[in-house]
Amino acid sequence: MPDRRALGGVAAVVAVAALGWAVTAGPLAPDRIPSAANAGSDVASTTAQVTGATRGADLYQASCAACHGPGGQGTPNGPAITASGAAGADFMLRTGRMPLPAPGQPVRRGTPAFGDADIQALVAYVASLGSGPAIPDVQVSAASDTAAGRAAYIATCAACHGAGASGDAVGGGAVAPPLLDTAPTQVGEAIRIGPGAMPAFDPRQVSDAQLGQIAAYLQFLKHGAAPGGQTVGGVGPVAEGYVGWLVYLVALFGVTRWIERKRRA
Amino acid sequence: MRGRQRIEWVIAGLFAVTALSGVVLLAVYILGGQTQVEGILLGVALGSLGLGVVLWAQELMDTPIVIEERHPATSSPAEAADFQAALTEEAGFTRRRMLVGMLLAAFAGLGAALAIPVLSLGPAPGREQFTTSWRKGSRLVLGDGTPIHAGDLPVDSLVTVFPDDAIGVTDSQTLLIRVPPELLRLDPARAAWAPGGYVAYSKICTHAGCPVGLFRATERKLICPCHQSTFDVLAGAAPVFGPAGRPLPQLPIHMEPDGTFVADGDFPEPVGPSFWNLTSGGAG
Amino acid sequence: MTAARDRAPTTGTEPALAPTELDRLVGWLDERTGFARLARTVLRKVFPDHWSFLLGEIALFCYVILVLTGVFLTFFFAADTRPVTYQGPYPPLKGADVSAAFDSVMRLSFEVRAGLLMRQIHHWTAVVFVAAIVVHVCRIFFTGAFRRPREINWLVGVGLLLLALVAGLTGYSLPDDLLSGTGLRITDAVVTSIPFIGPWLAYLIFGGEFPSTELIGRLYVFHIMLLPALMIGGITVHLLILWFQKHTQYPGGQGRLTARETNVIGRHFWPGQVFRSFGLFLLISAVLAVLGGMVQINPVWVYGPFVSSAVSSPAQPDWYLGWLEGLLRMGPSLEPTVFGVTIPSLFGPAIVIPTIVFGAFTLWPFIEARATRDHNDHQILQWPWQAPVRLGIGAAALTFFIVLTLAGGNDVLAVYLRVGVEDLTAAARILVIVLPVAVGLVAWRLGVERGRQVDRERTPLEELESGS
Repeated sequence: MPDRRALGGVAAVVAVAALGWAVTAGPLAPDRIPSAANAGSDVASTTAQVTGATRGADLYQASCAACHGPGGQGTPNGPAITASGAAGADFMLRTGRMPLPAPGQPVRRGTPAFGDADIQALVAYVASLGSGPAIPDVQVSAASDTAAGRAAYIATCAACHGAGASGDAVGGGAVAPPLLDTAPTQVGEAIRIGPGAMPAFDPRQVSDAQLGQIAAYLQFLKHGAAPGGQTVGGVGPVAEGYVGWLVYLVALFGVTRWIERKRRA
Repeated sequence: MRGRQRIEWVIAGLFAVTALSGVVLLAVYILGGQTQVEGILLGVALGSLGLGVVLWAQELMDTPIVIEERHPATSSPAEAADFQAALTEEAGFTRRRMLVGMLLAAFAGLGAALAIPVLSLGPAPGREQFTTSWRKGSRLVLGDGTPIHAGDLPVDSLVTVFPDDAIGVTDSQTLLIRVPPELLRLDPARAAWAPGGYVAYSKICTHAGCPVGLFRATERKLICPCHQSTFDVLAGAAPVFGPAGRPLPQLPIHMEPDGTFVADGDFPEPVGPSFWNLTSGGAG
Repeated sequence: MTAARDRAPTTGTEPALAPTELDRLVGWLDERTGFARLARTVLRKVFPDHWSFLLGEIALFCYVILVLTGVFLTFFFAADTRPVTYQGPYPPLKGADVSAAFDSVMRLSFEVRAGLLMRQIHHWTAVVFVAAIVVHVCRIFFTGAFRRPREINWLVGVGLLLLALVAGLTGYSLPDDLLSGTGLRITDAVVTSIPFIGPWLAYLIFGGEFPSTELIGRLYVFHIMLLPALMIGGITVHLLILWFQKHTQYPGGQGRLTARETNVIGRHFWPGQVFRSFGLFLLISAVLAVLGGMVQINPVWVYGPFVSSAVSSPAQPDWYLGWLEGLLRMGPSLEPTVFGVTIPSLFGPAIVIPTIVFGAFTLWPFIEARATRDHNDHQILQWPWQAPVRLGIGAAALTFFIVLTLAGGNDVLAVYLRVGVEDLTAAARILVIVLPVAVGLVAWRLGVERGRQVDRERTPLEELESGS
């Protein structure tokens, strides 16, 4: 007859384990990108089929001008975006960071507010407001040089985003997000524009070819770097410690109580 | 007895599971192996055996609770006296104090000599802690050896550089950061060390030595990932948060006509984690 | 089948029974060693059967698994920092400059069959090993098992815990990867921070300025030779003392047998205790085997080889050094220079505080004996609430370490809790004082209340029979 207290303890720990899974790899994990965000966002082509020259302008005035100004020159509510270029606008819109629900809200990844065609229109319009980087051409294929990508990633990105690209807090309220679910084009755009607290990197620091290599390496990390089994959030020893304690408490405590259970003679 | 027989079959079944999973594990291994499958099979094999063994002990063995007397651990006075006598009666230590004293002195002297192999384990820290490989005339280059040019860096971006003759040398790792020059608030004596808003600091954290690799571009702050020491690039990399107790040393540099950067000397303070005679300048 | 010795002695008129195989084996060995004389007391030795007395065995069996898997790993590891070019099958490292040590770990993980399984079992077991020791120490502490005459065993045990910490640190630093190399850098800085002798001692231990070429080799010597030797010796002493002093037991008793200072109530060592312990060993191995196969740990190929100018975040040591990491993160930035001597900001949190805390921890049996003026032998344990002050102090100490360990992962927590890292650090600085005091006081009160409740419920007969 199983010891009821032991059963209750096991149930409690299993509940904690489920919560832990949900928080690290499940639906409660931070910056979990809804799958809709990636659908159709891998458009590397810069030849946007704008459905009407004024569509972009109209969308801009409706959704962006309140904070960024009618000509992108900025307001007290939002910075100037004349130097953002197509890359900046495309990155912010496709990752759902913009538009913000209200000024002063934290800038976070989310579901894009616009469909593909509208994004292309907005991007073209914002690019026309000033001079900023164009959308980089980020090529990822099975033949990509992941070794070069790894070297560039470790040297340039790992300090903030982590060697496993699972992201980390960098202080000052800023978070370097996880990158495993980021589309290659958005990876390239972020490197060129330096969104938020992130610095920008010139083609002379990170070449256009390296953009594709880094993106290819991130895709490899997502699928091919866990021969050891389930990763627990990819944040290293902190999560491993929680798992070790969890396993110890559930399995081993439970086992010792079972071994010495008092049974009727 | 029927309960016992049932348990016997259960235990036999568990042992059979162990045998089977052992064989399957061997087969998996021979066929090339796969970590997750191997782990599960090994776990099943060991777990079944363990369950069987414990069930055997719990259900099939008659292991009653019994009682045993404790005896005090202390030896009887006679035994203790006999020990003392055995120790001293033939040796007579207590009577030859001078010799015992000299024996101890001999061991002490020999022990000091035998410590020498331990001292061979490491060189004494000399001036190494106070100097890096940066010299007057060292050109700032990237990890692949190419010199960094002004204009290679966008504003509010940064890159890791080394002296051209000491690429990759740990204590010489340096950050070159480009900031808007009008925002710099350096000490007047060091203002000239930041030509055109390009300022160079040691990358080694002055707290515990990790590379200070994180940069919040909007605030121009460097952060160390190990313990979150935060340094203000505009104010001479002074620590503004976290446990670091002193700023990152600044490297004196100037810009050449061709846009490359050249150092004007080594760092004025020791780089890396602080140590007790930090301020002695290596003269101690 | 009983051995001939256990049957009634024959008189001269009965025919002698034929010797069994067991009789022959026992006879062969005994004629040469006389072992049966000693072994019969060993087999009959009485061990109390409470489940909490198995916690130390969990740690012991983890150690055995560490040695077994560790021996396998030593066949493949190369403790050499010489640079080589990686030529193995993992694409992102192809052509990379790595050390021979890192290369050997990559080969073990990707090219040796069952290599990754053994490596992961080894590392997971180390993680669980220290957890098992900590829980075992808590049981010893809260039940007063360290009291006279068991002070020596407490000292040995504390020594084993510290050896386990160092063994873990040296072990996970062997692959020379980016994460563990960063940890070694911090270790070097901690040693360097000691006034006057720090830099000299760091150069001695590490073989020069960081990162020296000697480092991995030295860690290897410690990890596979010196530390295991010390630990096996310590464990042997630990078990021998336990054996000769006999195990403690809880107050009360079983059925009609009452626990007293002068007896031990339990089951015989053989077969009951041995079979259960063996079963425990197998079940622990099973859990660790599944863990080692199913959950990835320390993926050094993701961190990549150690490069002294690169770093990855988050950067933490294994959990059992997380308390030190927390101390370092919340430490103040004071770095005074007094008469030309700089006291690095690292020194207080990294050296002074741990020395004080672990010093008190080590000397606890003597501190408590003096404070309670109790210098008697104790063979019967206390339920934790029977010593409310100790309960409170222990609960406070545990809380202290838990807050520190959580603070060591403040950047990871900051992401999941959606708060700022700096806010967590500031909160930790306050909580590390306030929370242990609060928890300690609550635990103490609970102990006192439970004690009063038990006193009220005791019948006079029970008082008479308690005999403790």
